[in-house]
Amino acid sequence: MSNIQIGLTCIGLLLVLLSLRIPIGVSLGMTAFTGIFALRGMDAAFSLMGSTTFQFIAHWSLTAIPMFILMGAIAFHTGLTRTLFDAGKAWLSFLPGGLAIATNVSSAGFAAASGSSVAMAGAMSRLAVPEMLRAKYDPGLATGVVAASGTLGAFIPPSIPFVLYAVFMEASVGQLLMAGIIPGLLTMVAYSLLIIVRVKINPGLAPVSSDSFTRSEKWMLLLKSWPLPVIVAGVIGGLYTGTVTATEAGAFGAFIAIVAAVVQRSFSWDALRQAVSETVKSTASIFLIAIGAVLFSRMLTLSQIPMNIGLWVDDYAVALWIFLLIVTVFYIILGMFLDPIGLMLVTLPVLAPFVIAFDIDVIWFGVLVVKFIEIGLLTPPIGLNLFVVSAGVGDAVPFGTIVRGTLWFLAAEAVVLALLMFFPQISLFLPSLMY
Amino acid sequence: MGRYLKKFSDGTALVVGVLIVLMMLHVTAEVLLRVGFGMHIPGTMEVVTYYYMVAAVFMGIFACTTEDGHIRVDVLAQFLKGRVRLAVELIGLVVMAVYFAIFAYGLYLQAVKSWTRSETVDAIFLELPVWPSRWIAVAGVILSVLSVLYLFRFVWGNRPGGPREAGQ
Repeated sequence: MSNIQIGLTCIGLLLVLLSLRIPIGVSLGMTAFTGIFALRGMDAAFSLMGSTTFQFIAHWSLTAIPMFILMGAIAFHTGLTRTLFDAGKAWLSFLPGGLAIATNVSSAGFAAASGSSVAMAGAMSRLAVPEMLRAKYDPGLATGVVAASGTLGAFIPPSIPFVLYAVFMEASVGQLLMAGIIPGLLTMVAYSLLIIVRVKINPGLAPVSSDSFTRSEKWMLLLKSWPLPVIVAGVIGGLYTGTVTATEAGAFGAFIAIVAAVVQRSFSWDALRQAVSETVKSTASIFLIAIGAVLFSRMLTLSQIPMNIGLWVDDYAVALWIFLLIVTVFYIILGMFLDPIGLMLVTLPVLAPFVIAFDIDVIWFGVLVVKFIEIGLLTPPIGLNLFVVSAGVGDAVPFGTIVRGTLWFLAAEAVVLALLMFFPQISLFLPSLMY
Repeated sequence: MGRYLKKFSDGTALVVGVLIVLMMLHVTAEVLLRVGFGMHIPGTMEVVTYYYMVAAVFMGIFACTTEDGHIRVDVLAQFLKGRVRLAVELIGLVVMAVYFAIFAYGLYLQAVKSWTRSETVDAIFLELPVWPSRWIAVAGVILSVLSVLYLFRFVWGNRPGGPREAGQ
């Protein structure tokens, strides 16, 4: 077999192992070992298994990931998320569909503390959906907004997918984290507009709230929600000015979250224990995949597939928009099967050579990739957030209703994705100010 | 034997948790000292990457494997029933065990190299020895092999018509 044939066979083998329910990280690593063994022999294969993997883990940029996870887990388990939702409710209930918008906006705020979309959808489905159902909101709208708003977590810093993408593509972590902010806010605004327009057309979807808050109550609630906005401002400000690295921002954010919880008397050792144990598990499961992806990417390089992709793109003068169209379809289909981090790490080794061949801006492409994997969380039949919300609300809302409610938000996503594709400046404006 | 492994794994998860909290405090202290007083804790970056991070990831992989907590693609396998499902699960465990064994051997070869030349990294004010962290990685992945064997017993016990199926 030629090198390229070995590489292609390995891609096939990977798909087989994945479908056999073998952990994603093990599937990637095992396939990579087999491929490197066939390409370069046993010594090279064992040597890469031992050296590449260790050097990858002992990498300063990646130390941001456990810190981001810890920060989000502490904010959630000590109830900082709840104060933000309460404040959003008090200030936004005058709008049509006010509770849904409060859910959406407070998700964006929580996104700032949590790097994980799935964790966020789970948290909000327990917090916000029961309130919306009590207020006689349409169940599809109530669950749809929670599933969709969960995806904001990947865009507003700190974001785990951006850190991983940056390390894999050898791009600046700080620039990528900044690049996500405007697309994240744009998505939040698009969702809010969608809710307002839908409720204007059909007021039955969201009856006007009977809760009323006095001015002093509103300010009280806003004051009580200070920790998350302060953490966000600190993290973004620190990264933007270059005062701190992503790891330092994450560690300091987690520390401030603990201090805030102690000050607000919502801290408990049990909450800390749960947050830490969640961090241990999430860190290990993300890095097993990341290690596999590094090996897989090395294997592909040795098989010379990336080089040939470069030649092929030159020879056939493939247009960029055709490539982007194929990538879109590719992600939407794969997004139905794989969890977001897994999806990104499985696909990046294959896509990286195209990014080089087309001379695409690596920061802009990162924003698109993260958008794709987040859309994958929402696509029926098996978008992960749909299941997370379904598990969170229990029997109160049937699965079909959740899917129908989420489809509206997917339509909004299509518009946002088109804007991000046609106007790279939306993603590149903030990073361009950094230097 | 299985019970002790589980206990050891739970203990490891706890230690890893404590390390992650220490990592947070260590980095926070460095940030406060630097931004506030222009001072440094020597070797913060190196200790974080070579010790906290390596222990958190490799020992964490062991704890996560014992809990069967790694992320998989469930879509196709969920339709499988009975013996086919059992066969798929067993194949999966064999592949996992083989992978962790290969991985551990690869890490072991590098650890021996690093040990014999007493590998260090330059941490500005000191030469930080990093060879012990290579052995942490080896230990974590070897323990993961044992965890897979532990899971193997569990899956076999739950096989259709197996001892646990009838009892529960």
